[in-house]
Parts: sequence; C-alpha cells; structure tokens
Amino acid sequence: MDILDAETLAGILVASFGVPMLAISYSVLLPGIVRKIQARIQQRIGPGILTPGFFAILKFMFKHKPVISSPMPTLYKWSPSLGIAAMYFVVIFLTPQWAGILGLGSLVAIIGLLKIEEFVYVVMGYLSSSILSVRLPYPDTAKGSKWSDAHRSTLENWGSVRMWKMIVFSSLPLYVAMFIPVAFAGSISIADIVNSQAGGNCFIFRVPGAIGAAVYFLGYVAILNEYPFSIGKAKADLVEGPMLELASSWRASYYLMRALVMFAVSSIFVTLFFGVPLDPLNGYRIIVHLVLVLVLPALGAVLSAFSPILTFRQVVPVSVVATVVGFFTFVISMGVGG
Amino acid sequence: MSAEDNDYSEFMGKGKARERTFETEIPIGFVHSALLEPYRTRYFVEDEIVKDCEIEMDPAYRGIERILEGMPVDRANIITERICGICSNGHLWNSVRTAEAGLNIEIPKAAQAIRVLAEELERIHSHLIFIAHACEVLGHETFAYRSFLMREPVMQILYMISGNRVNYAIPVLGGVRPRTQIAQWKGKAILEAMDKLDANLKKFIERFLADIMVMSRLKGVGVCDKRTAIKYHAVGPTARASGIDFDWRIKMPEYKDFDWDMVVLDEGDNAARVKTRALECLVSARIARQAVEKAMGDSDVLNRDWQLGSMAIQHSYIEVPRGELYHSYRLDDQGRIRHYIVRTPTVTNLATMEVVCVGDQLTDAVVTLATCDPCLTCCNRFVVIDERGRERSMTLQDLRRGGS
Amino acid sequence: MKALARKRAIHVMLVYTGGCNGCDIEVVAAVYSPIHDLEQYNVMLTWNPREADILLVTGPVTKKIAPALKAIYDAIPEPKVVAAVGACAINGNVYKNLGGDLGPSTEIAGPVENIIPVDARVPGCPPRPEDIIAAAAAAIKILSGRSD
Repeated sequence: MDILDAETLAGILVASFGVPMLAISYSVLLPGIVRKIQARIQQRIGPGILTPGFFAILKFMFKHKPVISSPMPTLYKWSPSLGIAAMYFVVIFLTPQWAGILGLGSLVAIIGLLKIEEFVYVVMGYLSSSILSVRLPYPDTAKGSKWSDAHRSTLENWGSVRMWKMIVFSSLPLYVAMFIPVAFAGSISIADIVNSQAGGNCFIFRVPGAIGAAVYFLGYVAILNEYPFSIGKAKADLVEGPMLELASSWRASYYLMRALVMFAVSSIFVTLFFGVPLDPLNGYRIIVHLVLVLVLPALGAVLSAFSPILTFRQVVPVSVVATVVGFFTFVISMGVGG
Repeated sequence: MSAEDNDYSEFMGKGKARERTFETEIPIGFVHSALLEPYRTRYFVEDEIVKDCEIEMDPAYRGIERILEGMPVDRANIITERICGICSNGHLWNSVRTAEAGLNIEIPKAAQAIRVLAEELERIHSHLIFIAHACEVLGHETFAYRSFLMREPVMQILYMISGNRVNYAIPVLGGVRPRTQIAQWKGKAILEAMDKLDANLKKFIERFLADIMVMSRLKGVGVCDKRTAIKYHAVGPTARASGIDFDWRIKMPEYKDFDWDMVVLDEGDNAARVKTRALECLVSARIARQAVEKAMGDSDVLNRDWQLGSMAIQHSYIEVPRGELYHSYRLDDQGRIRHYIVRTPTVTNLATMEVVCVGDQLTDAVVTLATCDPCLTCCNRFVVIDERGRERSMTLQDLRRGGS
Repeated sequence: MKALARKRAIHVMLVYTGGCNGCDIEVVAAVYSPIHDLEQYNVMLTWNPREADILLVTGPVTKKIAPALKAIYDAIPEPKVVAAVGACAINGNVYKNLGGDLGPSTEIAGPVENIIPVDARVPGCPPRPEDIIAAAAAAIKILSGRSD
C-alpha cells in the first residue's frame, strides 16, 4: 500500500463525506423528475419537482411516530437505514480516491452491497402486519365460510416472498450486464475500467456496450421495483407490499433509500459504460457525471409510463432472455476487449 | 332440478384446509387500491396460483327496499337513484317504468328518446370508468388517465342536459323533467361531442389492442366458457363476452325504432370482456346520435294527465351497463309502494368470477374480478317481505340454487 | 420549515364506507382526470393509512364498516385531517333520514362524526371535482397551520 501523504488523505476525506452529501442532495430530485416526465406523458401537469422527493421526506420526518405493528419492531424500523448505509458505501467505493484502499474499489464489493439492499425488502416484508390485510376488523371466519382453518398471510408476507423470487430472477440481468465492461477491460477494479475508456473511448458507443447498456437498463428498472417489474410491491394486489407499516421518519428513511438506490445504480452505469467517474476533485468530470446520471431515470420513467405490472408468467421469460443475451455479450467482449 | 345439476360442493369448501394443498390464504380487504367499492375477497393460493376464492359482498348493505316500503311512489323513485352512483339513471328509469306500465301512463315520443339518450350516455361513461379501472388494476396508469380524459366530455354533456354530473334525475313519472329537453344548440353540441368521442375511442382501442404487454396480461386469463356463464347466470357484457347473445334492449319497446348492433364475442377471457365494453361504447354513441335527432327541438316532454291509483305487482327489466336490472313493486290504493324488489346484475356476475378466477396467478385473479365490472353498491342481498309480514334474507347461496 | 414541507407534499387517502359510490367516482375523477389533476397541487393519492395526512371519507358509515373506519383512522400518524365528502358522510343523506312505513335504515352507524372527528365537510350529492379540490385546499391550510 502506498504511503498516505496529506494530499491523498484529503482526497479520501472529501470522497467519504463530500460525495455522499452530494449524492443525497442530488438524489432527492430524481423521484420528482421521474414523476414529472410520467405526468407529461399522461397529458397533465404533475407535482412539483421537489415534491415527491425532498418535501415528502421532510414532511414524513415531522410526523408523530405511531406504534408499529410488528413482531420485531426495531429491526423493521431500521431496515431502510441499513439500505442507506449500503448505498453510502457503494457511492464512496465508486470514487477514484477509494480505488486503492483494501481492494474495495472493485465491482464485487459493489454487487455485494446491492445484494444487501435487495435483501432489506425481504426482511421488512416478513416482519410487518398492517391494518389493511388480515387485521382489518371483518368477520371472515364466520360459520359457513370456506376453509376457516387456513393459514392466513398478510399482504406484506406475500410481498416478502415475491421480493425473494425477484432477487433470484430479476437481478441476474443487472449483474450480468455489470460484468460486460469487466470483460472489456480485463479487470474487476473500477479504476481500471474507467482508465480503459479514457480519451472519449466510451464503451457504450461500441456494439457489445450498447447491448450491455440495454440489459443493464432492464436490471435498473427491476431493482427499483418500477413498472413493469413491480410485482414485489404491486399496487394491484399488495397495495404497497413490505413497506406498508413504515410511518413518519422511518418512511422518510425508506424514501431516501429508494432515491439513493436510483442515484447509485445510475452512477454505476455512468462509471462503467461511459467511463466518467464520480471524482469530487475534478469539477468538469463530476458535472458531466451528474448530467449523465439523469439518463437512466428518464428512460425508466418513459418505460414505466407505458407498461402494466408484469406477473411472474412474463417476468421470468423476459429476465431469462435478458440474462442469456447479456452472457453472450460478455463472452464476445472478452474477445473484443483491449 | 336434480342433485347432479346442483352439485356445488366443489366450492362449498367442505373438508379441512390442510387436506387440500393450500399454502396460505390472502385476504384482500375492502379498503384496497384495486377495489373501487367495498367487498372482501379471500384467495386461497398455492405458489402464486389461486386454488379457491370466496367473495363477501355485504359491507355496503344499506337496506334501500326497507326504506321504500310505504313511501309515496314519486318520492321513492328519486331515492332509488341513490342505490348506485354510476348506474343511477338505470335505477330511476326502471323504477319509473314499472309504475308507468302498471298505471298505463303514456309517454311522449321526445321523452322516450331523451330517456334512451340518458341511458346510453350513462353506458358510455360507465364503460369508460371500467376501462380506466381495469387499466389501473393492471398497473397501466397512462391508459387510465387517457380513459378518464375521454370520459370528461360525456360528463359535461350530462351536466349540460340535466344540471348535475352524477345523479341526473332525468326521468319522472309521465316523461322527463322539462328542464332536460334538448334545444337545438344543445343537440348540436351533443352530436359534436359524440363524433369526437368516436374518433378518440377508435384510436384508443387500436392502441390498446396493439400493446404487447397489456394483451399478454389479458389474453387467455380468466376464461369463462359459455357453459359456465349459463350455469352461474352471468348477464350483460360479462355474458356477451362468453358467447351468450342476449341483451335486454332487444325486448324493450323503447329501443324498437333505433338501429344498433349487439356486441358478442366468443373467447370469454379478460381481453374479451374489456373489448366488449369498448365496442359497446361505439354502439351507444350511435344510438345517442339517433336519440338526439329524434328529441332535438321538441318541447313536449312531460305528460301530466294521469291518475295515481293502486297497481298489482309489476315487473320491469332493462339493460344497464352491467347487465340486467329488475325492479318490481305494487302500489296500494293510496299510491304507496309495497314490496319493492331490486335485483342487480353484479350479484351473479361476481359469483361467476369467483369460479372463473381459480387457476390463475393472484395478480391476474384480481384483474379477473375487476373485469366483470362489479358495482357492489347495487348488489348485496335483498330482503323479501312476504305477505305475512315476515322478513327473509336471501343469501348468495339461495340465488345460486336458483332460489325465488 | 415544518409548515412549508406540510404544504408542499400531501398524501390523501380515500375510504369508502358503503355509499352509492358517486362521491368516490368524483374523487377519483378529481385525481385521475388530466383536466382536474389533483397532483398538480402537490396532493398525491395513496392507499396506505401510514402514509396519509388527509383522510377523505365518503358514504354513510354502515355498521359493518364502522370498526374498520375507526381502525384505519387510528393507524394514520398525527397530524391528520379528516374530510367528510358528500351529503351521506355529513348527515346520512337519504339512508338515515328518510323512511316509509318501516322507518329509515337500521344498518347505518351514523354520519362520520359519530365515529371519528371531522375537520372539513364538502356538501353535495355528489360534490363536483372542483368542490373536492377546494376541500383539499382547505384541509391543507388546516394541516400547515398545525404547529405540533
């Protein structure tokens, strides 16, 4: 390991504190932009850009905290914060300043942290029992009703089961697509992938890169549980899925977690496929990076405005096809890479 | 009816749940994003496939027939409008029609045309709400917004004719309210709006049927073949999507002079049910145009010389947006209502869907229930007060047995 | 800051308690019709009581729904505002107040204020979407004026 001089240390400090602050303040704009694009497609004026992200989070922080109905309330309430912590580390591991430290500037670390975030949903769904499902005061199991001794699940439990299935099926395209630039650059270190695209030689402008970007886009929509891959928290039958019991500041933390996931996954895309890193010490690069981060959310907004919820009947074939396409592109990129 | 005809044991739920392979039960409660009206469904699922289903419909029971017992007939007619907010004109028209048939009241031609116009406009706006709701349950918000955008002009027309967007109170005993006569300028506005609606709706239907993702969700799901539809007494567009070619408008004398087609499809799946209603909107626009032409400029819309007296039990059936609506009552010698019975289409339509949604995934089953266009506020059980003054409730089980 | 946040992001939940559904259709038209579009006023429709600030109640409350209405009201975190939409929610309308020989309906647990406290009332049978938007604006004023 290199000797830590003052300049490198200062760079690491800026990356560890400045970049997450930037990420948080920028990411609370993203839900509003998405909603506005969807509203314009639907031929109406939507809410203000700051409303679904910034002001909603603030408002929820000021609400009183009710008693959460859950077998393990503390774990349930703090699960979104675990997701926020995972995203914090993703964002700082993407910076060039962290590239050499303990090998953490590599793709494997990032994928592990994203897996933690996906698992948060499963944990939350298992641990909650809201008023809207089984607990609604209604005489269901009266005399003469069908199967009155059946086991009853809450909507969130079912959401948790579905999120588990989504981890298996729909995160595969995302991870396969992330490995395509690895094949191109010949290394899992993010710094190497960025340097192999130096001088405007962006991977996305080459054919395997474009296909990889398309597969990555599908994976982005799936990890965010947006339409058409929102079966885990489908509004049609699960109302909101595992997030039903979150209230006041814990709901604010969930909104923030989701905004940060939007930012982090887009940021990974820009770093891997455009070769523009999240470098706090280079003003030009960081501005280009922030502008390019808007590409995936905007495309995601257009796709989700024009699609219904797809059930597992359709999600499984789509993600199998995407994974297979991604795998072949990976094999091709190994030959192409330079 | 022999025991084999009425073997309903497969859905009576006999036996223990553990003996059947149910993983779990998921209740979808009466406050939910997929329901517009309160009804409780219990789905018994195994690995996302619905193996059985039970629907409980009575949260919205308000006892309308009980309120109407002994009321003067013209007051009672207006109250029946509040049975349902979407099909309000259907209830009022049928209620007024029953008394007019029994008391032999003549209706002017223009008034008949305006009543038909109101019913067809109501059919259009009800079907457009249904399409918006079905798209919402599918998850496609954009189509829902487009459908509501198409519906707004229809509401504005109803507002222009009658003075209110919902609960328009157009028919009265003897004709229609004088305020609702169609002047020349109103008639022109309605014709223009119908033309625009035609054009927009045709574009929307083409776009809808060409969308791969939406059609893959709707085609082949919730298949209700003709035999099932007949066995469980499905009515209205739900039945016509399964190949049953009956529409009460064939038999109603008010529709005799109109030129229209009945929309019948064969597939019986969710896509067919949505398509039937979309095509019926186009047919309704045609009938509405003819009705406007018949009624435009005519100011003789109310017949005031008739006598109120007693009337034996009179039955009346009309075709409302969801199917067959039945009203019946008798009048005693002071003109007060006795033994009002209202039987609405959703009772049997929803029962059919309860059987049809088995075998699909949970999300698809919720869509299947939504495609029969349930209107729970009409539905519920009705109270039969027989001549000895005893009350007897009829439940869904009685109706399934073809009870009377 | 609190008042600003409460004014700029509002979540509304709709509970239907067994009415004729006319008011529900008008509320849904106010939200989902691009002409009226409640979202442009930063009011978003939700179906989760834990997320809601304003509760819109329609319908005369039938006896079967009354406990569920109370439970949903209790599940909403403070500060909250209840708006009774339509004549049924305000005073029971035709179901509670009219009757022939057998009297009015025995299935109504009363207008909404018998079960939960009401802050805003929107009259009409049904109220027009413009009235519902005005009610949302009045409820927002109450909400942002609360200092707790």
